[in-house]
Amino acid sequence: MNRVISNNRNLSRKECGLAAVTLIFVFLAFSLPLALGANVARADSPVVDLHFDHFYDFEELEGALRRLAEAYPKLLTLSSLGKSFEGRDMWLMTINNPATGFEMEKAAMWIDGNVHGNEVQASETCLYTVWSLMENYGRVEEMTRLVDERVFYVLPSQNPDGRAWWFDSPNTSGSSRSGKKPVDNDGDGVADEDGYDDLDGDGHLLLMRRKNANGRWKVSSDDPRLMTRAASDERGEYDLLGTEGIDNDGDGRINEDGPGGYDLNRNWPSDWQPEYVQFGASEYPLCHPESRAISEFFLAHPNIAGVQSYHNAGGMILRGPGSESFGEYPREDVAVYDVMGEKGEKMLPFYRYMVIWKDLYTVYGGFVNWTYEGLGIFSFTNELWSRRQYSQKEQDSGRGFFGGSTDRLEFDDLLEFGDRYVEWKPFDHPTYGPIEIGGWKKETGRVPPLWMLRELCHRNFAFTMLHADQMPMVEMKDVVVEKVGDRAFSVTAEVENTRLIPTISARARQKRIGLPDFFSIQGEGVEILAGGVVEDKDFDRIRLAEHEPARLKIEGGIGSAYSSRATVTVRWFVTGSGEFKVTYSSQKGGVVSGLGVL
Amino acid sequence: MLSTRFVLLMILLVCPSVQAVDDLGWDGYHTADELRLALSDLVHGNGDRARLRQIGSSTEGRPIWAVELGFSEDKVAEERPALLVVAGLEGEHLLGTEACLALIRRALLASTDDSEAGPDFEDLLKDRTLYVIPRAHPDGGERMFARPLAALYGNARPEDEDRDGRADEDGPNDLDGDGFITFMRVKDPEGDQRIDEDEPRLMAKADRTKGERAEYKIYSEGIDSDGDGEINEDAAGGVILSRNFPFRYAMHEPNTGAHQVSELETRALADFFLAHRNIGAVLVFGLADNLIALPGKGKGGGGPPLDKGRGSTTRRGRGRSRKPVTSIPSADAPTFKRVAEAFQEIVETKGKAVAAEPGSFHEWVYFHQGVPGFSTRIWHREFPKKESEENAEEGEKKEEAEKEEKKKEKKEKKEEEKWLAYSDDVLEGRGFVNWSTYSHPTLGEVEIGGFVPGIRINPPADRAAELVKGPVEFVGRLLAMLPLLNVEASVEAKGGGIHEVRVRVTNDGEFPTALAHGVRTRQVSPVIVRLELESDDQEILAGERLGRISALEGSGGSQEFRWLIRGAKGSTVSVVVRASKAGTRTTEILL
Repeated sequence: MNRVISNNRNLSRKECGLAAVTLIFVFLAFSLPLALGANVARADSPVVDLHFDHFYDFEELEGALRRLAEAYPKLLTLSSLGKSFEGRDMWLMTINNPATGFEMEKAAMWIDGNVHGNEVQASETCLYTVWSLMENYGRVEEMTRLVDERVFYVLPSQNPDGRAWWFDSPNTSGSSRSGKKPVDNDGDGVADEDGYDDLDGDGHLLLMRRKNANGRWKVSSDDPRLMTRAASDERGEYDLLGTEGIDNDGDGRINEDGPGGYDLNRNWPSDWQPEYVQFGASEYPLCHPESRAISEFFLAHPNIAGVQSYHNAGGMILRGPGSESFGEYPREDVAVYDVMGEKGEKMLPFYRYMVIWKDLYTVYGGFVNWTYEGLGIFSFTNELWSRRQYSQKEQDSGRGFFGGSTDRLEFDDLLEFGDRYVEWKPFDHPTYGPIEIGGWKKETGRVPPLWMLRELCHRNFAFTMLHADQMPMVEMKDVVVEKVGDRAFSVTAEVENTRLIPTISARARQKRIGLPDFFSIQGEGVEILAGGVVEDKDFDRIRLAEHEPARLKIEGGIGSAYSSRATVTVRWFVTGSGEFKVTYSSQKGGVVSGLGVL
Repeated sequence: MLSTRFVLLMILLVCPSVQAVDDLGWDGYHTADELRLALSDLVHGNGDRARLRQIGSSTEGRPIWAVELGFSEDKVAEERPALLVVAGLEGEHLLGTEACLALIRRALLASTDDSEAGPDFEDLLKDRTLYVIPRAHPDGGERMFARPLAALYGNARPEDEDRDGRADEDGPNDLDGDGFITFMRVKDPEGDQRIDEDEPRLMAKADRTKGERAEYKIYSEGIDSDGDGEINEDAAGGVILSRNFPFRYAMHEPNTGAHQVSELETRALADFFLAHRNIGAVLVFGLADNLIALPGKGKGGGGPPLDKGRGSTTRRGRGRSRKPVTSIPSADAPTFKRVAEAFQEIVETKGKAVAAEPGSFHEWVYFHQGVPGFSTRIWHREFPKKESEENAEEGEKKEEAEKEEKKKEKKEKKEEEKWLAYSDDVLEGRGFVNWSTYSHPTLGEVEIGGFVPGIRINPPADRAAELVKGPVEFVGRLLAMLPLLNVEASVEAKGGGIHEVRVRVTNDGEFPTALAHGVRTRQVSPVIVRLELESDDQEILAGERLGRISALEGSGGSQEFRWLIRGAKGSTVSVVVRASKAGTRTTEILL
């Protein structure tokens, strides 16, 4: 009886890696060399030539995914989850090495982005993830191991219509957030009849201002490009009239009912609230084709054990709850979140680990809220890009998540060569008369400059790989047979979870989400007399199963590798002879077997 | 050869997969096939007044039907105020479907035959639309005709209730072969039940502190099919559809579905409702009842509770949030009260209010969509009183004077006794299977017996025609209550080619054009008043291009709009008034 107990348990990829690579060599030694043989590339001359100083519109993204799938047919499968409202495919890339086991028997990391159409760099980060894992497979040991041990489901855009809208039409930084299903936002019985208009046809949606001796705005004394409020004892010189547009439907209002007008990230079942409580929630959870298709995939894939959903911006690593009324998550799960979140702050300079409702704002019916609260999966949302990255300083003078105008102008001048700002120009407006149009382009604030995009992709990719690496992974520690009578034996088997995340989260345990883990034994010549979980190894305290001793239910699963619940030991009392097999199967922790003989 | 085939076909036709049932007196209720035939018969020949269409399919592939009724050719159905009547979302409630069929028949007959008393559907449906979904859960309805009959009312989606990785593997078994899944009582020292000393057919919970000895355990009828030690712990299906809607949805509770509106049936119903914004009220024939007693009355009884305060917002941390409304705001309470009173005036049935389950349809339409939702069970065991029942009722009066703690337990027992009396007297004993011994494979000697499933939900079908009369008449009353626009215009020439146009918009219905909660949820759009010019020579000098009224009160609530228009004498302008729940009116105005 030789038990190997690791006494150095820090959160690091390498250590877990060694254990897991050993495991793979033990069980799957035949397959790895084959996989390693293919596509070994130099890091600086990739097999698939993708660039990460580029934003991919929907068609380009589709093309890049196809090229990857063709280049790595053994590991990649490109499929469509369904069609968006306007009929675009919801492309999902599955990364799975079939040589290392069945897809459904390996923990899977879900990675998506761009649920808000304007949050574009989320898709490049997803694309970078697939590309980087493939290009480095067989070259970088740890990435090879991740691909072999895990499954990745990567959906670069949850909202392909919104993405296409951002690229193909004039927009502000936030105007293409919604999906494209027409919604009657102003309650006049007509949908999407009065949106923004690019009046001067320059391809940008900018601001309108009008000279007015009684206006309350004036040109800033700091910079003639900026507007500030006039002081209370000072005359202003301008009215600010909002974003470019006219009264398209003649109702006396401007821009009051643009395309779409809902929020696909408020349409998820957990802690969902109707429209009057949560703007953008829509009529009922999962009523949109995009959210519905994704939810169906999740319900059919209980092997998903980690979720990352990329957004922009502000530089945040977010976890739920989304509302105060939900209450805090179970302490045991918060501890797991905290380990990853704090590590993330190191990997992502200028990002902060935050709780959605407390540190940002209230969100009812958010996607990562459903995946954790509804499905029990540890889930993060990274808000990609922080204005602080421009200055590389923790503090700058700007306010808000997207930075103040002064900083913007400064960086526009110093680093962007003036490319983000459009000077005010006169225009004759049908309702307002002579006005001026000018301001910031849609890329400002939320989207990184192209020359910083690749770094953003890589750092967030690395954080998500840390998350993926810490998904539960069960390992058979030992299977020990002892004689307990003339023809009777005891079989003691122990399984360990080698990673930070438990096989069943505390949330899932509380709400009885998904299946429990199962520890089973079978052998042709072996009869199972009794069996149960060993609750105290020192005193042989066993909780005998009342029924089905050959298939023991492990209700609580196995806890974190860094907890007192890191192992599960069971003992069967058996008779007979010959070989037998013990199997531990966990929906999120994988399936592992060991052999023994009587 | 041909005749042999014909005979075979005949045999197949007369031996459907579902058994004919006459033992419970249910054979007058409509099976899925009979319902389809009845609906197409009713609609046939009434093409200008009634439309039958399929709005979805059930989990087992049965069509879900909707009938649209409206007697005016010049108005679009979607532009008239509408009432939606839904039955059979609880598939086991067969009576509701009969009420729908009677309603459609009555509405269509009334237009050709004036002899019927009661509401004038012909007149009502000139300006209004009636949508009827006679069986929203057809699989559940069909199951009531199959044997063995079990009290399993979810839809057909497989569900792994005992979380063992296998779905629907241990359902009940009709061990005694009587066609009903009843109960097994077995002597067990760990049980908590005893035989009721007053009525040995009934079981009662033993109170050991009062010296009552428990001797029995109760199981539902069946065996441990999967050998896990539990009996009937994972039966076929499913999601209980009346728990699958978003208001008060109980996620992670058994049989509520993976999420809100997760099922084909609930999605078909929700989408139908959402696609018809003219629906100004919903009436459900189902198990909940918020009409038979006034809302807010009784503990957990009544309909939805009445609000005592106002919703509010909270602000802590950075998170600012609005609180959802979970009880009827005081501004809307009179509407609910008025409707319940109208129901009780028309329908003589007595009974107790039955609270909606969390996730019900009729509460969703009100609390999230701002449309008043009502539900009635139609039948509450109000049969001609037998002596035994009269005595029992007297007993009940005395009991109410007794202490509160004893009350509930006794009431429950009394309820059982009453149903037993009903089975004995009205069903001639067919509603209860007398206990008889059976040798059970794992429990040993047991007795099988107890109430037959479904007898408390549906009376014998020959009672249906009489029972649904009141509810059908009530539908007429409810239609008459819907908000209804009236628009009056006047013109005054001011001289110099300038005219003042006045338009008065009035709500002639009883309901407001939007309930307070409809306005708050923003799901009921405001009344839109739009002045449309007919030529380029005309111009609006003063007045709103597009006027909005968030809500007009019922029974004559009105508002006036004024415009100053420049235009040639004799030219026309028009005013379009559009209220999602009260219709659309276009009025031409001659300057």
